[in-house]
Amino acid sequence: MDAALDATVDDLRREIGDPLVALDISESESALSLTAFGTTSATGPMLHRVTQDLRQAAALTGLATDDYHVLTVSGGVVVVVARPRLTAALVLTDDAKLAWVLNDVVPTVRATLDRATI
Amino acid sequence: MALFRDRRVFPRWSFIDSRALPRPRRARDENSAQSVPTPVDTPDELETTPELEVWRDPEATAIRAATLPADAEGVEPGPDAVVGTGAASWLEERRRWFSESDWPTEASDEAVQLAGTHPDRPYTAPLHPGLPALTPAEVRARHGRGFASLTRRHRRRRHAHEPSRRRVDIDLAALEEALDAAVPAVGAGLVHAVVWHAGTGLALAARGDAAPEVASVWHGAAKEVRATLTHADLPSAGSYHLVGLADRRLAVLLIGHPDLGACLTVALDEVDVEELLGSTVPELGEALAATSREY
Repeated sequence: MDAALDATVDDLRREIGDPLVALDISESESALSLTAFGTTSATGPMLHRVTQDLRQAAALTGLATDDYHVLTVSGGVVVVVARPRLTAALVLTDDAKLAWVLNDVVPTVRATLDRATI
Repeated sequence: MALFRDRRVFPRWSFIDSRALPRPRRARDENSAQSVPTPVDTPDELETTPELEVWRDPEATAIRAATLPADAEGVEPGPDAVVGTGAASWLEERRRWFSESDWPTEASDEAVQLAGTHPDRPYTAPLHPGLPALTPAEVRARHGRGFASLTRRHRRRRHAHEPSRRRVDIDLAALEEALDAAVPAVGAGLVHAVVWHAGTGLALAARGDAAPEVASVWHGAAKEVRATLTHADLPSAGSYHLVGLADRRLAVLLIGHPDLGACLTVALDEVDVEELLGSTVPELGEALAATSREY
């Protein structure tokens, strides 16, 4: 499992490249951080709570959320991809365009997390 | 009639009929007929000067004739007799002056200095430019206490923990225009667009089939996200949140403005994401920001 997670981190670093400055991979159900770099122990659980809040809001409006959301922050972009088993939170620099994040980064993270859970 | 500051009685602005004011002792008006005699007017003025007329009150004359001795017939008229020459000339001069179109309607700087109360010390104009442009009712409605809230002496001190109340005016017509401009830019992929008041979460404008609770729900979620990010050891929230929705839809939350929030829900299969996030959404954010004005 650890080797698979390390391989996942390496894959994401290689495929996303320089804009990736921090990463946290946690278990989706418990928000327990499994591996991370550049983040603290509070980042994963807090982003897990953000995901729950957004899901609840979408449900109240009669919509269902997909497995990702993107937050712009000062000087960067936070991408959260929540698959059924694993959730990845990536912090990118503000060089990352939002269209590139939606079209390239999110599918890449989704595929990488799915490979790690098999 | 002109607007002067009457500094002789009390420092208030008032309308003073300048024609009733005595001319300052050393003031000379450049537009008066006396100071600028034109070659055309001068002969007429000399020709039309009325002759000396003495007006006598008939009753006073009778009383004086009864009381005075018979040899006092040649006595000069008393104070009850009015000599009309000077008054008629002064009035005629003013009538001619007022009939001209270039007579002064406000005090010149030189006239203000000459009318100063001190002979040597120059008159310093007050810092405030004059009467406020707004009506007292409007000022009172905006500031609550009329003019008193504008003076520093009467301003209530706020504590450090007390948030200052912002007074914001949102142009709803401009808000509708901003949405009207954004809808064709998004195109057929627009599901709905909602704009809400960031302080209350109340919907201000909407396009598409937006449910009534969309504004307040996304407003609450955006507040939760912003509050949570501070505890996640991440930088503060920026301007946009993108929430992926089912059926290949995307909710773009615009949360960068302190007074307005917006949600643009689009179908990803029918919009150009690069154009949407690169130009349409930032332009909508700028247009929304322009509709809010703090006063």
